[in-house]
Amino acid sequence: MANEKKKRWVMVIDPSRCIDCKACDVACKRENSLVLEGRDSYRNWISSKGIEGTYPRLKQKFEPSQCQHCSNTPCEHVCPTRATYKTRDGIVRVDYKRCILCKTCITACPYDARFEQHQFKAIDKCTFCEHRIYEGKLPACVDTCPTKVRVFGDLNDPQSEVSKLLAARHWRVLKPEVGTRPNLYYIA
Amino acid sequence: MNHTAFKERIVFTPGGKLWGVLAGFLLILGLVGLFNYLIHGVEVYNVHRQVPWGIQISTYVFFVVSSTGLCLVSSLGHVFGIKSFEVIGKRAIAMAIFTILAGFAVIATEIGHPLRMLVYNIISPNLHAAIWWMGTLYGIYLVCILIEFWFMMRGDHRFAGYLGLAGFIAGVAAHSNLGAVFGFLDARPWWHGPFLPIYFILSAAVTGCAIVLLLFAHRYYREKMPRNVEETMHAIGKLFCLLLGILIFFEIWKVLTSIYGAPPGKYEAMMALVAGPLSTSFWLFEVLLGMLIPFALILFTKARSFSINVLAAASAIVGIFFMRYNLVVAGQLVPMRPDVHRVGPDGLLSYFPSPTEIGIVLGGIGLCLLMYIAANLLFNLDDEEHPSEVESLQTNSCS
Amino acid sequence: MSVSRRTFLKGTVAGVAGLGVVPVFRHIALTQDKIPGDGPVRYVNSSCAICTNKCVFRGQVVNGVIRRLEPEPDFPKSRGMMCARGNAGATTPYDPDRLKFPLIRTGKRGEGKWKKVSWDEAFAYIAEKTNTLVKEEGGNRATIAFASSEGTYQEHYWNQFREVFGSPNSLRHPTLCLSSNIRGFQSVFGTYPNADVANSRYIILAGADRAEAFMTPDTIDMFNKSMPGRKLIYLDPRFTKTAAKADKWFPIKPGTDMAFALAMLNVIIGENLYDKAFVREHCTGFEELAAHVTQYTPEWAQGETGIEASEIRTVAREFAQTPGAVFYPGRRSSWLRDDVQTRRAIAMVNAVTGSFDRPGGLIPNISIPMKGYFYEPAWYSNPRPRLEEEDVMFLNPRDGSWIAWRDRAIKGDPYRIRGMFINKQNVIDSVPDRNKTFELFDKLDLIVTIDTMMSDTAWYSDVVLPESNYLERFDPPYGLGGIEPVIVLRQPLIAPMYDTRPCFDIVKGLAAHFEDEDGDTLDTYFSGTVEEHAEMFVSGLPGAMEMLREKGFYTDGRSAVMGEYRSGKKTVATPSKKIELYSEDFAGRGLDPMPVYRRPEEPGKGQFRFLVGRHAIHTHSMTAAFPELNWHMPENSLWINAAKAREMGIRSGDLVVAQNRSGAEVRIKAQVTEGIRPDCVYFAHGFGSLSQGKPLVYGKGATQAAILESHFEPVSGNACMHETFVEIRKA
Repeated sequence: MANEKKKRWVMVIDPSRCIDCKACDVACKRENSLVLEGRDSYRNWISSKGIEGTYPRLKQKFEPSQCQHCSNTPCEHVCPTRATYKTRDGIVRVDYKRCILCKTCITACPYDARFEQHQFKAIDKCTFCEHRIYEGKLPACVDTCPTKVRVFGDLNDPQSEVSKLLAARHWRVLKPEVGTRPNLYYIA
Repeated sequence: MNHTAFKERIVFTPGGKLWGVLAGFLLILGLVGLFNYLIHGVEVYNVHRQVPWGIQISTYVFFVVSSTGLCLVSSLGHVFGIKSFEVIGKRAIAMAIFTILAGFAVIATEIGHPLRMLVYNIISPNLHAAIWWMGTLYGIYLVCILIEFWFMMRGDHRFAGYLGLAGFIAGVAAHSNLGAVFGFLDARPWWHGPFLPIYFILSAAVTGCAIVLLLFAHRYYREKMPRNVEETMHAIGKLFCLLLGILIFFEIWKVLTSIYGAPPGKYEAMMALVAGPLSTSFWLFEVLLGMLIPFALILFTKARSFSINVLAAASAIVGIFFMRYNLVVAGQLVPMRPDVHRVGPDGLLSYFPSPTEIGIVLGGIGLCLLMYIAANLLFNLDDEEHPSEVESLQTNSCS
Repeated sequence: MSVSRRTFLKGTVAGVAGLGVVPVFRHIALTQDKIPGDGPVRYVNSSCAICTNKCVFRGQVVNGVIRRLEPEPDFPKSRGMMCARGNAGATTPYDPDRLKFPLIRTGKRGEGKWKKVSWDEAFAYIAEKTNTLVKEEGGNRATIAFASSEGTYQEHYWNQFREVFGSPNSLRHPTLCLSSNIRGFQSVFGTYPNADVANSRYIILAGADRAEAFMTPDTIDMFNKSMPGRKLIYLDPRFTKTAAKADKWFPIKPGTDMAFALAMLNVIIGENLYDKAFVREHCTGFEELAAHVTQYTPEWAQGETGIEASEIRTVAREFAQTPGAVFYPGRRSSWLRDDVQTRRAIAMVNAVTGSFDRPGGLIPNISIPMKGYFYEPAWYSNPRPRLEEEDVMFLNPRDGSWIAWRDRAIKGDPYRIRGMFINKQNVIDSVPDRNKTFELFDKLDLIVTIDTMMSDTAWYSDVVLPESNYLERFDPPYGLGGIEPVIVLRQPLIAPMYDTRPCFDIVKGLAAHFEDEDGDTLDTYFSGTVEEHAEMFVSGLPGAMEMLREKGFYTDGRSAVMGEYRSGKKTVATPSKKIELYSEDFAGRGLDPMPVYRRPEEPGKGQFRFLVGRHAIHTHSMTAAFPELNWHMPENSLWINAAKAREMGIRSGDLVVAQNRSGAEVRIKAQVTEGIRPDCVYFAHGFGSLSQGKPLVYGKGATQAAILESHFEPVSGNACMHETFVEIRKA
């Protein structure tokens, strides 16, 4: 693998397809054997402002999200023991055994993507299912999705679906003003 | 002066015993909290995913601010050679040690893996991380002031001075890095920026003055204060007042810049303090008790009355404790995701410390007080004008 | 840590209570040694049992523990997806609240006192009781009723047992579900067709909340945007997630869907927008229908439905003029008393626009032919008919009509029902009017329930038999009809964890304790093994068993060929062999030959119509206690319109009482929302459990069964779920 070209794993999300069914969340928890420890243990989520407007003129939007695997990585910067690190392909990971649970990374993350997981005695977050993607499988949230809201792939490969999507469609990222350069893209 | 007689006069008085009992009681509360935490884990804390830092962090900040402040004030005499401040040296440095130890004790129950931290801070340091610098520099700082204290007890003022300088530098660096732990966080506009590191140093000096006043009020509660100490206290009182004035000035501009034009993130956090869930803690404790009352008391008495100074200091210390709490909590009440289930109708997150968290915090205070009481038993913390090495050796033999 | 999470938590609760801090949330009930950890993954393909769709998954087994059920990408019906419920299934074998061994009740019913017994003891106990009851009823074996539900793939064994036992009283779920829909579409098209959603450019959904009530592949095809420019028109009194995704949402007045469909017919026929060639060649009764619908103008329909006439006109025109438009048939059709006719009106909108047997339209299902399950019938002298045989016009003898049957059983008319054997159905929680179900239970001397969890029904039973979990079980192949038909299989990922048995072993074991009239024990009617039956079912399909074993499903790649009805290769299975816009059959039975609109009863002052409806997190009352799904939805709440709630001084989170016209009531928290009509209230199903064997939902929220009034429509026997009016007051 060392000689292979570097990947840039990204996820492209089309929120207009999302029906808020929570399959991504449960699939993530099972794939990663996450113990349900309370309201706070989850790696991905679906944001919604709920039903907006006044009856009968209503709308509701859903926006699935998770760790943005930022290129400019605030959680990595603040971690005193380098427990949070970036892999060569840009995945932001937590090395559980180095984590001292100071929780500075939680306060540093503009996306509320990190949480304390007692099961690992460490801070936890989305890993892009790193254990799957090098076996050619998709992250759990991607493959389980009924309406295929998420597309995952290598942005360094111009032939990948994500490259084509980002070239062809208008997109946005979350909180661009904080300068984190996320690797989660939203079809606008 | 005979140290045994001192113990009789200060520690074993009814009032002194009451202090001991109070401190012991607080420590027991802390131990109960600690026990509960060790058995059940962080579930007994009310901190959560969106507000991961609670009262233990703010109390840690309070303690290390106090320690740095004491070091700063004591260094006026020992490091910068202002003669009249030398009398406060030993007592202040001793308390600087105890406050930082208490701070470490409290944060050790908050950080999930304090022992792991010791190991990985060394073998896997991240030089980009303010918290690494803060931890490391505070470690150095503690060593410096411990040695400084040792030299002081030996009466070696030259080396105590060198170590004091080292401690001063480490303390200021560590403390501004603590400010940077918050100030580096882009995600949290209300904390982000150079304000906090500077503000922390300033408020440390304020806290240092207040604690010194309290320590000497305790020391000379039952006997007449020597003239030179009285003069020093007068000077400390004036310094305290001046620093409070500057602090108020800082605070006013912090409030105004956070509210003017409603800058996103800053505004909501500031409003949580000014007119939100933390408003009592802000107006009553932080503003009134922490700054306005002590400032007014000293200003109107021109710092001439020691007891008014002490009253002002006590008021300020209580206020400053809440000031730290407000700082830590308000910065987190603004949600990163506004639709998280914990966000209330006011658009803010919520946090209130659990009994266990409060117990541990009280235990930290008890621990600090007990260490100070013990130090009064073990050491002669009075700086005399002509310190005698013989006497300090005798002091040691008392233990 | 070797201590289980639950013990750990109990300790926590006890220890922390002293400090006034009790963790709100129960940990997932996984012991630490049931966390699969890392290691090589063994894949076993099987099919889901958590809803009706039966999605095929690739089960990951790591270190002998099920880690995850990931979607099988090649399974055509679910298009390679696995929903939240399917994913949450992975932990079900490890649920500590599972039924682990047979239980016989020792205390009063519902008291929760049980003794653990062996299977043989349980069988002997049941047989002795049953035989006594049959004897007391003069040898009438119909006195024992049998309830069951689909999805186990072993229901045929249950039916076999009932038949060889000699009881006609079988009760299945369709009359709580879609039998009126089936009847309605069948009367027009001779079949209950599927909609070719994937190729449809214009879809009208009447209350079919496909974004929450998943149907494969419809849900996926509807929302994955593979058809650019498609329009979704959605009628529902609630703003559901389908409403959020629809191009148009009309908060239609409940029960007036027929008026909407008739007005569409009025416009389409009146403006000559119908498919003249198709109607001429394939339909009968058009002239009658055209004359009939002239009265149903959009202006008239506006007064009934609350939808503006101009909107109805626009939808009707767009519908008729968009190639590949379909008025979606939907499934759960148990609404009002006129449901069959409402479905017929919807079917006719499709018929006159030629939305049948063409891409994007209604497509009759096809299936892959499998061999049937044959067994020796048992012959009894004096067999008795079903209890409610007279009450329903089109009664499916295997499904029965739940409400009609229960009314008869309570009265003991024409004979008494003394015992009930229940397999998988949660009767107490799923049949409307729980008080009546309890009344029925009070008349029963023996209730035997087979389930995997302590449902409310099991809780009120005399004997509870634990079935093996669907991930521990081999179930024979099961055919799923559709546009792309498949056969699915269920095979074990892990060995059974407890003393549980699959349905076949249970009924065979039971059968050994019963005799037929000739004195032969009933187990002589059962032969072979489930595996042998499985082989036999697909023995006509070369390579099928191998593919089923490997992939969990079988397809020979066939899909419904379009145009076969249009070309005359196939004929419509109605009496006239044509699509019937006028039904002689209905006329002959004294029913309206064409749908005649009758205004539904309106809620009185202070009353709301109580609505039922699905959501994507839970399946009926089955999954509410699955820890991971419960995490997403730990309790249900009563939706009430915001303006109305303001009027009544109700705020979100307030405890309210909903009381129906017969005085039954539930207490439930209010959820004030803009997303519901002011004249309706709604809450989701699955909560308010009476069974303490489901601690996560015991006493949490409320169950629909408690306040649904019991009504049924007499054509198909379907329960009417929207005929309930409730008054709401603050508790």
